Amino acid sequence: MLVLSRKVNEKIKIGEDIELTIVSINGDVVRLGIDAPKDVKILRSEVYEEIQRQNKEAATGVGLGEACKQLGEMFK
Amino acid sequence: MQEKETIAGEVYLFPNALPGFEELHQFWLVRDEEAPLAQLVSVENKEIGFILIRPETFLDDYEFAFDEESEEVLNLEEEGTVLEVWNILTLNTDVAKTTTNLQAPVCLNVTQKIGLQIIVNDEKYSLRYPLVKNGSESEQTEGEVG
Repeated sequence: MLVLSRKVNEKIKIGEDIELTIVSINGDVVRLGIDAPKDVKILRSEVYEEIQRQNKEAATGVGLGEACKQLGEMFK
Repeated sequence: MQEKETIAGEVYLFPNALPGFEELHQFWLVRDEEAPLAQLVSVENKEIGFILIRPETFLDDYEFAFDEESEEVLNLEEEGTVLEVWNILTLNTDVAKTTTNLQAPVCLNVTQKIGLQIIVNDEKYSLRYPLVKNGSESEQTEGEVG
């Protein structure tokens, strides 16, 4: 891993098309601005794991029809 | 010999499966006749299913952009393609505590029967948005992720 130190407003260029800017630093929170082409996916690393967890929590096999009926009542 | 339950629905292909269920690529979509709900049931594992809801049911403006890969997977560029956006519900024994995942909508190319769960890169959309808002003070999860 390449480790660099930057101050607020300083930037980092990654490859040809990606640029990171340190927007602000507040205590232990760093705000990063990221300039990248549309085809580059940018995610806070824990987000995919969160979605995985949420999907697992939401998945249900048994009683889908029943649950659907109950929920349906809310929209009547 | 194939054991096929007759589920009245359409089969969608999810080339990228679903986060957390990376081995499942085909899902039945069973639309509810009356409510803006649907069931998404795995063809490969009938134990796995989700209940989906149309976001316009409870949100006035739900906007997000598709990145290039998503556009390709969903084949959105073809003319006349019908796109539908749904959100997965997380159920609760208390129906009033049902929440929906606004951060990762399920997008469907209805014309070609392709599906993709997209991760929206906007912190304002919650993983657990409550469907029912209490008038009194309640656990507001809006705007928070978990």
